[in-house]
Amino acid sequence: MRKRHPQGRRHGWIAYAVALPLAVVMIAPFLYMVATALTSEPDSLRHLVPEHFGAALAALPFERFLFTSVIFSLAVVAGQVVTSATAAYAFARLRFPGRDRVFLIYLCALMAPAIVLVIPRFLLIDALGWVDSYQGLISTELVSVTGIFLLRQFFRTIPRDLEDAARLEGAGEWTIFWRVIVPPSRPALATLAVLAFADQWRSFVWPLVATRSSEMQPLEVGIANLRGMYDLSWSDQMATAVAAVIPLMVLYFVAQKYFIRGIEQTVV
Amino acid sequence: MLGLAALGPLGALLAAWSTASAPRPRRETMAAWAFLAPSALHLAAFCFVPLLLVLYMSVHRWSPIEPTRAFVALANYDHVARDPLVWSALGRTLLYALYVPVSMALALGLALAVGGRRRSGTPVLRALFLLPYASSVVAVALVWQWMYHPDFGLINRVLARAGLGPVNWLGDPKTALLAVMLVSVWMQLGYQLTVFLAGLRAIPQAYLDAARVDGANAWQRFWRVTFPLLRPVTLFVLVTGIIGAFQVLALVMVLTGGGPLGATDVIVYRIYRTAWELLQFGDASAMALLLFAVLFGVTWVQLKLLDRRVEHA
Repeated sequence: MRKRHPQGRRHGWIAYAVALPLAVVMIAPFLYMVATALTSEPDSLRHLVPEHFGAALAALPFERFLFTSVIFSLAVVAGQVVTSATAAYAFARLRFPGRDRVFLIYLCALMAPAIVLVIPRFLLIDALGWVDSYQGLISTELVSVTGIFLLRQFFRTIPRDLEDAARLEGAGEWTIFWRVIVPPSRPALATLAVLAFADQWRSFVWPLVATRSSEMQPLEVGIANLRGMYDLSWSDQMATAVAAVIPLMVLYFVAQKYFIRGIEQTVV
Repeated sequence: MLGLAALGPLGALLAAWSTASAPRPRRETMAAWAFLAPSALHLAAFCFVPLLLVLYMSVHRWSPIEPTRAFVALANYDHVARDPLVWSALGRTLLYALYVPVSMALALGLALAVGGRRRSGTPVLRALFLLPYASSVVAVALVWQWMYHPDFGLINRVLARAGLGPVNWLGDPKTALLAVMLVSVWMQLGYQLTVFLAGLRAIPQAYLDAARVDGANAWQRFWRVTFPLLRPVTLFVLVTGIIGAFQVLALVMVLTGGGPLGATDVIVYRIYRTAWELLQFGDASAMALLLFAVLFGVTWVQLKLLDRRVEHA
């Protein structure tokens, strides 16, 4: 423990004197977005019209976008958690020939830039007749190598004793996975779920390519396209932006520690 | 078996060992593949088959509106390599990627300033800085379009207060890429700050205290202790940041649409347009694979450079 000497104190004040104005700059665009969404005239922020916000959204197929986004994101989260947990269990806890080589092949899949996969994946779902459907939107996203990597790191830290005891009592791999590995891993699974949900919620390029009708477009694609279809004022556009950001902000404030843990765990 | 038996006791022992241990590994291998099956099949179908398909498309004349798909060998690659638009987009992307070291320096400075372990305000600050990273790209692009508005945007209003003339941020080819880079710094700063804070936390306080006892000043402590120990973290942020910057697409699409006059036409947007606007899947595939190769090279060079720097230190 260090002593708090006056010099350190002063240094602390200087640090905050620099950091706080920067923090204001960081949140200013959000405040500007909300303020603009609440006005009817884009060039004056003096007359706030809270009703305007609701009116702008009511005029657009907003609920449909929201519904698609929720279904899409939740389905992908469920898929990624299951496939990541099972694969991570095999890589972290089981011994089999070629394990490390197989893991390396998985990591190779991570190297491919998203744009390389967009065209052939589109052709694939087109051949299956899945363009502009939930199957097409969801199926390509069900596995996350980052998720497997994240859970593998965590599973490796679980002590072997409990597993060995269960094995002596004749428990199979599935029982061990479900009873020994999954329960203490809930925080790691939650981290993956939160990150995966946020990733899908704001994914843009794949939904743009894989959908055609506004019924199948998630929120991000929907509000980006609205600009072209309707003659929207700036305050209308900000209203749609606020509405797109609110679910993410709620998730962020509720699950902040998972967000931060997720970021930290991909590094360490 | 006969030869084995001839080895006598050792052979018997070996045989006994192999029969006793055979069921366990075999069962474990089968279980492992059962657990791997969902992800392995998915990766095969949606990752490795598509990669082969891209390779195949890149050597064919391939368009969704043309039924004939003639083999053209390396003509698509030749096309792409001769296209001045591709080269200028690549150069622009490289320029854009410069935002990564800039925001990293900012993030590291901030982390050092607020990262002391007794500062109670750090989590609050980190939460504020992470806000842009946690929000949606399309919403962010829409807000910044409005922020950059030449007449009513917040930025020009503030500039006008300070007596500075209006800047047509997104409308002027000279400033548009810079404007996109500023938004990227704003979006990534919190992420990088979080990573650096975690890296700083992992440095044992005893090292810094020892340096202090030896009379090292704050500057020396940073360059001799903190920075070398942060090297793996810095490397990670730099490599993933540059790879991410090379793949920027959604932000550019919504914020500028590649304009004005192609001033923000980055490489991935060029690939996207070649595929979905020009419907040249063959050219787009060749371009995408070349980008893949470039990113591979960038990663490799960065790893080598940072390795060498440490050897000299």
